[in-house]
Amino acid sequence: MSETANSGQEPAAAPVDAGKRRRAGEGSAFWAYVLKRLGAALPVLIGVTFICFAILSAAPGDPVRILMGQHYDEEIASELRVSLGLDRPFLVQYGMFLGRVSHGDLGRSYVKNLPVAEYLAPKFGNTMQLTLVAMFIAIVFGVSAGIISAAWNRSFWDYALMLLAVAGISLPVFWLGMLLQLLFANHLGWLPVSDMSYSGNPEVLWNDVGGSYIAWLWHMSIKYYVLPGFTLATVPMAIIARLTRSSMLEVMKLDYIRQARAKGLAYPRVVVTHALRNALIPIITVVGNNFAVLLTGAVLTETVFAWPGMGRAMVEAINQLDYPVVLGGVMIMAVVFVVVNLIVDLTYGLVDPRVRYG
Amino acid sequence: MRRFNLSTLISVIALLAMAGCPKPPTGNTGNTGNTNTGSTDGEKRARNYNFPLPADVKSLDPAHITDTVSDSVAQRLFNRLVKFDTDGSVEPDLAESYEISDDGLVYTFHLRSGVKFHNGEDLNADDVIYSYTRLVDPGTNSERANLMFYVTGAADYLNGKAESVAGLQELDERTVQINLSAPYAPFLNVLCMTTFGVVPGSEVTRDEKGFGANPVGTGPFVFESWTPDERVVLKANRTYFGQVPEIETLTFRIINDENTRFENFRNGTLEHCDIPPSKIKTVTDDPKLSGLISGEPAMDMYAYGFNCDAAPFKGNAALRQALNYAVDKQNIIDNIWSGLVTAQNTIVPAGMFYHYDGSTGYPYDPKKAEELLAQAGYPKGEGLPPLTLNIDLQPTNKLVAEAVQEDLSRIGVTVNIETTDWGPFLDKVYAGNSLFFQNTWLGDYPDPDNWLYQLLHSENFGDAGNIARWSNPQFDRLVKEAQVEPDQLKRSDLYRQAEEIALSEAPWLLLFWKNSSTLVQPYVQGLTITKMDRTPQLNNAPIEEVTYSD
Repeated sequence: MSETANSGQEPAAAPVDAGKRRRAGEGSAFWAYVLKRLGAALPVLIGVTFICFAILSAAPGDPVRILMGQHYDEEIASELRVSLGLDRPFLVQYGMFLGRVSHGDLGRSYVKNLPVAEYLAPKFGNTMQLTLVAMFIAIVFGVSAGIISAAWNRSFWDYALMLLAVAGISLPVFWLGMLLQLLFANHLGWLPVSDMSYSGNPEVLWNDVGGSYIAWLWHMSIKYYVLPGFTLATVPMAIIARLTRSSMLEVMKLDYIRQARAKGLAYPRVVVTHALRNALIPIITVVGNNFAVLLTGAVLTETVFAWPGMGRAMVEAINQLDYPVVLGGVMIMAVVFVVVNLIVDLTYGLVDPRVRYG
Repeated sequence: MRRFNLSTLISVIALLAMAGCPKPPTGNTGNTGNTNTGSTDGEKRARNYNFPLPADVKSLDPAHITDTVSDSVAQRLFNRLVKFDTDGSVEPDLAESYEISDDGLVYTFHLRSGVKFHNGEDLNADDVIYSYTRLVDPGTNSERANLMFYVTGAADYLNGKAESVAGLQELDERTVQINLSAPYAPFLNVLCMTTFGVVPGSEVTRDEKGFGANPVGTGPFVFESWTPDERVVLKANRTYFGQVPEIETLTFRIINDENTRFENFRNGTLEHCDIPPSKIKTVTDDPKLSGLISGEPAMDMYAYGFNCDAAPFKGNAALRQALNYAVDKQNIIDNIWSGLVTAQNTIVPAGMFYHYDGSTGYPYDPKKAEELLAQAGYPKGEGLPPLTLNIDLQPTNKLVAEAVQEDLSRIGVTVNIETTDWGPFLDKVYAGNSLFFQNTWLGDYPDPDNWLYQLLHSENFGDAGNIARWSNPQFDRLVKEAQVEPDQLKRSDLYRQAEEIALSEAPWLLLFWKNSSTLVQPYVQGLTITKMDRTPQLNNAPIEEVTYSD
């Protein structure tokens, strides 16, 4: 079966075929490219943290006042300022920050008295998990919807799916989240309202589900991902669906598609193996960008579903003027964008061998 | 080749996902058949109390607790020498008994015997001395060091002028003596604050910075884990010297969004929760939910302050009174808060030995407001510049501000509302850069001193609490006198005189007291919500006394 598929693909997918003849020495050029890109991230990080530091310093508000709460005492406040280094001039503070960072120390949260890295690492992990789930949902449903819309262009399904996509882009996320909570958690009782995992005793739960690992895992963890995952997926899903449709429509107009159909290949096969492959590049770009955006934390979804992720942590840190956490978070976000963009650029080569690095 | 790559990618992702899955509890996989039949919903509940918190904990170290959320958790972990009963009176806690000298300067506490820290160590007098000294140790950097300044020599120790705090003495292993530099009648109340929780020196010195994330106390619950922004888990202290909790696990769940807390409560996954202002009507109209409300007017003030140290409010009591008379509080109470707040007619709230029951405060009287406005030199508001009202970002606070804005516009006073984040808000108000601002206070302890001295005495001008920057020498003298007066009847009388001055001078625009209205699941018994509680934190409600009815 794969034989026939290949033989049918050869002439039609001519652009893809070029990849088989890789030039010698491309491997080292590839790695040089990766290193160059990573090296370029350094000035980006310094620039981003400097701007962030400057904005924080210029913004109104005093972290010590927030720390002290109801019983403010000027004498104690000034000692706290000294111990946090807030009495130093702006550039000295920034220099101290860079010095610490170069030793791999992101500092300590003013508010929580925890090392920033220790505080943010699990948050990033939690956001990563939710993002992976959401992007999985967004890609599977978004790309499928886009393919269907393009393949049966101007059909009922095309209009219906694109209407849904417009709705997905326009719906306020928190409102959708609350509706899903009302329906699936409180009305139907199938899914939990919020949180990331079961808060009770896992052993009691194990006994309650009769020792079935799958059932236990569902109640312990998996079911908590469903509602926030879908809520977070709506916007990227809609964007991906619309983009897949337009990109596919463009490719479907090309000659090699007509040729493939003229040879008598089944329409679904033409759409999936011939058209989709060449329509993927813009989709990957959008998937990458959305992935990076979600990774930096989705404040509204995390707030509605009490998800302990980056978005909530950052908003809280900004509200409390917890400078070290804000700066650490911004650095993580900058790194995420640099790395995801790099991965997106590298994926182009995987999908389209005409792409060369160097 | 490409197919292979894709499938490798998928299997790597699948493996990663599986690696992240929780492992099943291995201990009792064998005996599921035996225990399964007996495990009902009731049994699960009996083991767990799910306690919502509206924000994450900052630190569980008593020396660094400044917010009600952290305090709510720390209350269950630590004991102080004395504590508040649910009616607000002071009763012994770690101290079995205490004596106060006639001059009010020497406090002697006799400790209970057999009290153990959660790490198994015995609690002795030197732990108390250590914990209190630590508050003024320059190395601790406690935000609450000033609470120790009543004790002889505490300030000297903080400034490095003394080797130890002269006023703290260990008479023997079970007896602690505290000397005050001047008599201070509410001192026992101050000692009830979580700041004075007794900590074990051995644990703190081992890792001082880490203690706030790994606290060890003597309280009814033992610290188990803190997952920032997610939950704090405590376990019952089976060797607690007081009432041993029936609850086995106390899980504080951090849920920032009020609607999410509410939906969780309705879903049965929280044992209590606060009522979101946007859901008050839903709750009061629902016979099932409205039957689950407990709580009462709390020592939780929501008012506005005038900057009495700047024009146009400086020296113009008539203007301040006029604005007070112009606001229809009942409208705010009925239409914005659906009756879940109580009109504020006094400065000192109900629930302590002194409260001015007879005060009518400033009833809604637009005519009188107009007269007073004319008397103040601004007939029909002419000549009065527009006032900027500074409030925080809470949506309900904005609704209240808009109601006030409308009421004041009726007598010709123009108000512009400025909403800002909490940080910039504090900056503006504390520095005296605002003329008209939100002024809130949650009582630390049920003593009028916490209101009249802290919030209105000229010694606390500005930053320290008197953000209205009001001063009156006669008021100052009366409040100071009351601080050193040991006789409670005489103190009441002094406070009455002082409060009358403050009420008539109107440094604030009185609005309302918040209620500690809390939804509590019907099976939860013995949860006493007190006047000192803010919901859903319920700082003073004795959670160790909770039982389940079915």
